[in-house]
Amino acid sequence: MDEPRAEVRRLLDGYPNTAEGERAGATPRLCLLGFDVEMHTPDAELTRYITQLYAPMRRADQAEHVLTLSRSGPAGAAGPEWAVHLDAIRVVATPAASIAFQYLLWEANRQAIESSTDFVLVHASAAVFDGMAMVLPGPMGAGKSTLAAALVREGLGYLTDEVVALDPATGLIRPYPKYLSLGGALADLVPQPPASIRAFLGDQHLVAPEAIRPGSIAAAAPPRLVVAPRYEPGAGTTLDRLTPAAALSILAQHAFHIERDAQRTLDALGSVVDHSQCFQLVSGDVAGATATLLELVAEIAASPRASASS
Amino acid sequence: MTGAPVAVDGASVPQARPDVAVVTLDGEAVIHRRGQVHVLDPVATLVWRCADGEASVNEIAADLADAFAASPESVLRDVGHAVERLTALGLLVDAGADADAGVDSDSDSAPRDDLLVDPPGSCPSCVERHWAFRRSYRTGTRVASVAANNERADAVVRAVFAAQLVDTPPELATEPPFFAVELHEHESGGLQRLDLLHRGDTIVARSRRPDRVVRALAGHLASYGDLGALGLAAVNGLVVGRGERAMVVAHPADPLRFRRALARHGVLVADMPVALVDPSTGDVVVGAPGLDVDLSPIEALALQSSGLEADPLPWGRARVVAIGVPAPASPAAALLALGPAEGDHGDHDGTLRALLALFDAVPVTDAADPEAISAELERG
Repeated sequence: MDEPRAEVRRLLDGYPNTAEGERAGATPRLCLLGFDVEMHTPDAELTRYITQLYAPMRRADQAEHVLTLSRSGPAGAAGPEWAVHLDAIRVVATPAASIAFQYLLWEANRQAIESSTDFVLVHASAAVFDGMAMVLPGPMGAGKSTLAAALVREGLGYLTDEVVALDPATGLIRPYPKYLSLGGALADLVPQPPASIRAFLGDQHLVAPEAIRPGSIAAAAPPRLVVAPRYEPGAGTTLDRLTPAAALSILAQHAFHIERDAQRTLDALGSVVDHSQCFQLVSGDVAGATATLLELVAEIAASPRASASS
Repeated sequence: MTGAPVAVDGASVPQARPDVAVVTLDGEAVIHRRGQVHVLDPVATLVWRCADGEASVNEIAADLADAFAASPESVLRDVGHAVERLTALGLLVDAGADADAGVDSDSDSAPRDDLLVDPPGSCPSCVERHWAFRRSYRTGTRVASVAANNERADAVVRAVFAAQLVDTPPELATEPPFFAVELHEHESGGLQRLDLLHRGDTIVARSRRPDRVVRALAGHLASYGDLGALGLAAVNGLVVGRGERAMVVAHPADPLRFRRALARHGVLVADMPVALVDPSTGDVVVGAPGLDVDLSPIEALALQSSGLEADPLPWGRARVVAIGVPAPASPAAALLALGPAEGDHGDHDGTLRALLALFDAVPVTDAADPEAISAELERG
């Protein structure tokens, strides 16, 4: 770390304090793919909550970066009340605690994506069955997180609900087991947060994977199934096979930073498709979609050709 | 395949653009170029693979007709349609055509670094709003577009910054203005409408005195100049002062009310978006360093409207005696309150160095309200 960033890092260690001058807390060092960070907040309960959300990514020692959620002063004082900073760079300033908290998590995720240049990253959730990874690429609202949560509840291993990190060198998907952000359909999976931090959460339903099913975090696994989900309210559940080119096109459209090295990304994703069965899933019903996917993984696991090492 | 006539010249020599990435799976090519992903059907994939920059459309068609024992006319039509479509998608060019008009024709469409523009989609309302006048002005090594809502505002801005005026680069002409000045006619009686300075979708200065809004534009323009060459760094705070003593304080939620309250204590506020700090001396520079500005039109405006609001802090250098942030004050709190913001086009490391130098030189206090600021300036 170069000067003045090192001095900035030193100053921020221990900030923010409560109005009474007490240290409210910092999370442990968290390794979010390539982003090495600890998060500071002025609320000890909130800090504990964030630590639980990212628990599988805890590491020892001091982190390189600090994400700070701070209050600029008593209500009615000069300036906006809440701010989020990455090191000393302001990300957002807002009067709403819930917006600031949303930005804190969003910035952590964004930096994880920006900092992870070794991996090919895809906007997708992923779960593990029989040592093999199922990749669910799709835009926001497609049902990625909901399906991942439902599959984890049913016994599949959890890799990620948002960013699939494919290591082109090994062909394995590395876990990025952050908290899941769920819609109303599976709100019963979300434990009641402490009352003192509800103002920070707004209408977000966040759940740590271990709270869905203890021991659910999976190890890195090779992709063997690609399912592109699409949520259509009221629709019955249909599963249609995709051509390899169509599946690759969907994965490529959801790849982060494909322009950094498009050929490397396409090659890596092409290899995923080469080793996978690929489907489009359309559904308006979580239970139906989950049952369909469970049948599919059971079939693949039972097939003589299926193997994590093939 | 369609039976419609083909517009492609049979003598043209199709060639893949150099900036494409391709993977072929089961006879269908998936091609990425500039954020777009295309899937080609098997016929188009075959044509794509033959488009090597050596063979003409006629030659490709003849080879494929031989290979598949098909009618040459029908294959030529299919190949022509595929080349036409792939060219329209921007995936193929005619290698025989002028290289400047082909391969690289759209490779330099990205905005230039020296033009101050906001990222696409960052301000939909800026795109929609129409401004009556727009001109471009140089600040340091950069050029910014400044809009005005009427002839009077445009004339004032043009007169003040005449020495900085440049021809508008074509890339700026299609972008929303970086700044916009909105001056209103001063009518006798009734409430005077506020004059405004817009920066993107944010109103960054508002006053009943147009001279203060134009001064704010000068300060804003200067803050995007080559501050490093002037030995200055931009700190994201407000400069307030009395005489030759100044403080850098956190931006208030309500600048107008804050200014009025400070004026009651005899404290003036600089019309600057940032504090331009000279880390070597601990001074702040108020004004438009680096810009050749004609102050006379601003002074003329001030004469017409000086009774409507207090005077600003005069242009020149002032010594910083303290930093003021809301309690509990600490260098870390000041760092976050006054530090750079993401996407602000500034030299972030320069700003951080200047802040750290200030922390060494002056106290960080919790003098953030007008009374405390006034007392701190008295002490300093």
